[in-house]
Amino acid sequence: MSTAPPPPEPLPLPLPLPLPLAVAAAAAGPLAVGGVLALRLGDPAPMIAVPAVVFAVAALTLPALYIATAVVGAAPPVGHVVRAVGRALHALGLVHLGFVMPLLFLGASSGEGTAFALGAVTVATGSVIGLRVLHGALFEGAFPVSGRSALFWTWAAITLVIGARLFGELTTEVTL
Amino acid sequence: MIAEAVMGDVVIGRVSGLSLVDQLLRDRAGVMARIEAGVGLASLMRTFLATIVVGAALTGAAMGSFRGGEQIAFAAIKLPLALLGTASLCAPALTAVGRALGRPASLARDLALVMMALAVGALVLVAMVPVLLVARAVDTSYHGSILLTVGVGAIGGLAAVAVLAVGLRRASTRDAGALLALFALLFAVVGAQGAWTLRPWLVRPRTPDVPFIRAVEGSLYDAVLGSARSARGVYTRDAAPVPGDDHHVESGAEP
Repeated sequence: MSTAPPPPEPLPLPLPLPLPLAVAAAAAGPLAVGGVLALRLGDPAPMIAVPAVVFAVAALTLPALYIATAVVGAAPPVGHVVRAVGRALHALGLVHLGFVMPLLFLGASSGEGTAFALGAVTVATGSVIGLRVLHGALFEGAFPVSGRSALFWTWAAITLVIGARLFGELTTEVTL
Repeated sequence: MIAEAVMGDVVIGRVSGLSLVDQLLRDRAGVMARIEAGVGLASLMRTFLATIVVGAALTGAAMGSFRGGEQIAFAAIKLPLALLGTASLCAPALTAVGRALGRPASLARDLALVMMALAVGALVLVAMVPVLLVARAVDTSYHGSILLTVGVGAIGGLAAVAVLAVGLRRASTRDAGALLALFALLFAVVGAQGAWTLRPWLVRPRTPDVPFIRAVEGSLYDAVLGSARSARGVYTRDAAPVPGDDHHVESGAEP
């Protein structure tokens, strides 16, 4: 039987904003990107699809990440995870908001297909940055656990594939 | 004008006007330190703005001299617009991505850094003006002049991106490489599309009427894709338009 002390818990993670505000900021970014696409393509579907994809994919896949990391002994306390998710969604929303003006310009001066592709790239860029922030917020400063990062990035890759598929399905009618 | 500000133990020179332009060419680290400290940002921005407007206008005028006449004025007005448009569209994205990645970002400082990069780019463009003029003097062909203009623009753009790279690496350590790569890509795409949207820059000398801006015909990416198709023998129209002829047919048919 091991007598080693339990790994120290990570310090409480401060949110950049209170949780409701962080979630509101997180929603504003995808909504704005979807709005730009809707404006350019002349169809409201992307304005609903982009935020829906972001939040639906987060809701569907985050429990799996928590369970898997808990099984391998790498999960922080659930409160820490909630704050980390809030921070990641906030980062994703910020990136989307920052890209709204360039997307508006590039979309307005491009064909519809190119505008849609640029919107998809913007959504993907925000998602990847959100995942990077989530990884840092969950594990930086925590006791190192072997294979934790590999597990996280495998989950992240699966999440991105699911998100891409859902985004494609929700916007197919607009782009075809 | 030269003044000094003390930030902690560091004394930061507060030069402006032509002295600042000189510092921009000789001591960019000093200018960046001033931006990071937030010292006299308004004065810096005024000088950067004037540098961009004057430098880009001179370069635009040199481009427009290929056609001559009103195109000299048109291009001299449009090139500063393209650069300033790029700055205003990209700076908020830099701040947003920086904040998302935990960098201590501020829109004023980021805008100053982007404007500094574009000011350096504009100065490099001014240095290339004699190259454009000598090409005009030796009657370089239209297509040769286009390639030369693209090359000059690319050199100016690379100079600006190099300044941005140094500035971002100084200001952030975490994910600085990813931030730089992402922002350099955005900067290049928006800048190139801005220049594309504000065409024409050169204009063939035989063209009777010169528009200030052509109608939007799709993005630079669309055009490159179309050219790649044409190079493979896949054409999307029956004939190229002839100046003064409004009756060319867009058919989408292949030859």
